[in-house]
Amino acid sequence: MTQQTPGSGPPPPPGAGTFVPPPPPPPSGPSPGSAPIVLLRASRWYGNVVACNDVTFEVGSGITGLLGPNGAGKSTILGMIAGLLPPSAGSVTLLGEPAWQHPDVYRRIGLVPERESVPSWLSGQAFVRYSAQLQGIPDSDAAAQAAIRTVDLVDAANRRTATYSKGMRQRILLAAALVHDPPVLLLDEPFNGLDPRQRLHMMTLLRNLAAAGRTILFSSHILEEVERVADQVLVIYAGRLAASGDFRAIRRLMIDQPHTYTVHSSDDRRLAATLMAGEAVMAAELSDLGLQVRTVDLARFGRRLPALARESGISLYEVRPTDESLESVFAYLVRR
Amino acid sequence: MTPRQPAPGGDSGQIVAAGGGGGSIYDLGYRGYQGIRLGRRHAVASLVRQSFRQSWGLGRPGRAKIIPFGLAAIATVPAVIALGVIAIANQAGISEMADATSPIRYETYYGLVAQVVFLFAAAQAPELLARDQRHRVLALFFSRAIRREDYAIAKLLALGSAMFLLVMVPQLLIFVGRVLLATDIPSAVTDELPHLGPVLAQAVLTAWLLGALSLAFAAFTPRRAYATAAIFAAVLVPLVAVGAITELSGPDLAGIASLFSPADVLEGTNAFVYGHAHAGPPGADMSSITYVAAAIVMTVVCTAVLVVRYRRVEP
Amino acid sequence: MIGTIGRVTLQALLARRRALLMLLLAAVPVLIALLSRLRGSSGDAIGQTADALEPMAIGMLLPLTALVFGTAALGAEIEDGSAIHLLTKPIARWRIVTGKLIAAVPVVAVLIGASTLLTGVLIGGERGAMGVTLAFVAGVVVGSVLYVTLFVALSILSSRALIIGLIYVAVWEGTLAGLFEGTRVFSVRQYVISIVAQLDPSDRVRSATTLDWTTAVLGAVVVFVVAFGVAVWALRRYQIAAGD
Repeated sequence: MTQQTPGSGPPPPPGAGTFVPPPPPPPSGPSPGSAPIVLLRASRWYGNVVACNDVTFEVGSGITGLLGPNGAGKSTILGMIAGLLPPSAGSVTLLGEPAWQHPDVYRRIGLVPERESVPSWLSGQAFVRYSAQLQGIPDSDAAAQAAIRTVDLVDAANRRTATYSKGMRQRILLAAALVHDPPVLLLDEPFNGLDPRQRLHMMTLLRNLAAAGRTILFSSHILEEVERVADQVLVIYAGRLAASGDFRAIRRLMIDQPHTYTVHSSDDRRLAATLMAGEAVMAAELSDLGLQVRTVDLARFGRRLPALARESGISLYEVRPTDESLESVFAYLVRR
Repeated sequence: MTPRQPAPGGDSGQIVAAGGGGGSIYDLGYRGYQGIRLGRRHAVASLVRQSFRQSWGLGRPGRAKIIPFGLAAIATVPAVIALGVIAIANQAGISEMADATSPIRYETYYGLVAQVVFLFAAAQAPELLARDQRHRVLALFFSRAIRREDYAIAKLLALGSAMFLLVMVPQLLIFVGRVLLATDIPSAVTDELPHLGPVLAQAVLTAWLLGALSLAFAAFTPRRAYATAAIFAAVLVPLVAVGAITELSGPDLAGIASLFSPADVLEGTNAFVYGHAHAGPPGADMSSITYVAAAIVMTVVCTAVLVVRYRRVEP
Repeated sequence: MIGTIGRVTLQALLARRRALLMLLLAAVPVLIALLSRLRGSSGDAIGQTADALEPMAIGMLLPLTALVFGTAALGAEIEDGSAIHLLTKPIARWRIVTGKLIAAVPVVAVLIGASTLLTGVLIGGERGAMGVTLAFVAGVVVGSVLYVTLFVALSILSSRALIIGLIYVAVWEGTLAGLFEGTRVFSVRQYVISIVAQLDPSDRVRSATTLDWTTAVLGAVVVFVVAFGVAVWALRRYQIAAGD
């Protein structure tokens, strides 16, 4: 779900201008019952330090990644959404109500905090059961067992959490957050400190949970994780929202940044010379990875390349965008 | 690419190698240290100095100074009052009488500020030890020229000196005040000087005993609040217990029990240095020198506990 | 809900090291009384009981134990960060505070009450001092409620609750109350002593305090209500700092 304001037209087509300025907030505010998570010009400051600066976005169902470097304000934003902090200005609405000082909203959200601070003398099973009881679930044992099965910790459930590895502690926290089957799940740096296998497991878990219709918002500073799991991305930098939406679409909006393509053909050198003679291509480099072509005008390049190849009698084996990655998007955004 | 070589003179930012592919390596002048290394003695002296500053909250933000300096101020209040009384009495010409009746004398000074001194020890000993334990800095200390025992003794020297100052300075103030306010200064000096001996002795005993005791307790927990509560209890509980035993079981048992109570022991030593032969709970008939012995034993035991603890602690 | 919180808090409070140390502390008056018993007792039983129990039970044991358990009930979770699991649940904040209190207050009351009872019985139980002893036990129970509620509220307001509580007990209730009579009206210790004096059939404790009974009860009620209210208010406004 990209940012759309009612009443304004579609975003200008790529090539027509520079980047899109953040849209103004809708005049009447978001209607209740719309997106599960809504931030409207939310700001948060501590004295002179502004942790979150006039941020507006909505989060719907599916997996949304909150991406930003450390200190960008991700945890502050998650904290405001989870009702742990009040916004200094603006509004933060969760399922139609502000989360701050509304304990009832916790019936419908699950929070997996960053610090894995579980009471170490409880067993995993006891901790999840305690969470279930505090949620007011009648059959806390069954709910706890179901949640523990979902996160695949059945074997270790009876051990004290002090004996758990970091990955296991993350998972037991996830189980406690899932025990009441909330429609909204908030995770603060869930992949922190997990080894590759545990990370894969967590990603699969999140995808399964989202497929059932939940709204999942997680924060991370690692681009690959967000790239692989998230449907939508919110890029936070220095407390401001730098970009939002599908990262490939964002990439296409970055029109003043040349796109790089890797081309494999039957005669790379001749193709390079032919391309350089035209106007669509800015640079062509022969390397071990194939022919690297840099172009600003995507549409023209797309039309010219097959025609040129056929005219020269060259067969094209592969044409692949090389920098349509979140990393290049991110690098571009924070460089601005 | 030519191998990297340090530029002579160590200019920073100098390019020392430039390869053909457009890469460069810059010499920032980093070197290993080849100079003189001051040894263990210097290291220990530095630790003592730094810990001494820590016990007064120096080198830390203002909030850390409130408790030590606040307590020191409270400990000085009776001295200021005493000097005020002397000044006024001199004016009014009744100095002899004021001298005889004033409750604030060298001898009674300890009793007046005892509680403040205990609070200082309870509050500041954890300041010296807890942070190093909590943030796992001990490994850094022990991998330097300092030995484990040195660390413990250095902390004791620091806190002991701080508390020595706490106890001495107000009484020195009285001394100086009395000398300056007297009509005949040289004779006043010779009059007052003998009093300084007992003051010094009591200050030394107090500083070492309370320093060792509070550090011994603080060495066992990285949480400052728990250490403060434990030290507090270590002084308060025996004090109250002795009172109860006096009440219930008679003075002889109370006398023996009072040898285990730091508060009572220090009162006993105070009596000794001012020449009283007997001290302790009323009716116990303890000779005051036993309290001095008890003080020394307690100090030695607590110091031993402190040193052994730091010999064995996992950094 | 309150029961669940209470049960888990109780488990946490009775952690081995802390519980053992507090048990040791509570045993001190009992041992002293035992000692006096073994040596044979004589004299004014009631006076001895009163003069022993007042400084030991009310002056030392009660505030120290209430301080340790009261600041640990919620403070320990706040300090190690696991309070977030309790606070992000759909439970009214007053229920959370009540759950903590129904765990911490009985622990303190039972421990100190038992110690007081045993001590009093050993000193002068069969010599007619039971009335005084029971009065002290009642006072100690009331004191537990007051002190623990006070310190739980303090632990939410400040991370340095233990030290502030110590300063309150040592300086405010100890030294200042001795020096300035006016401060006695605001001292929990004085309320407790007054209540004991009121319940004491022998009227021996009366001399220990200058506060009259109705003021003490009023003060106690006010302290409890205000402390409870402050605890709930502070918990509602408690912000969990983001880790970013």
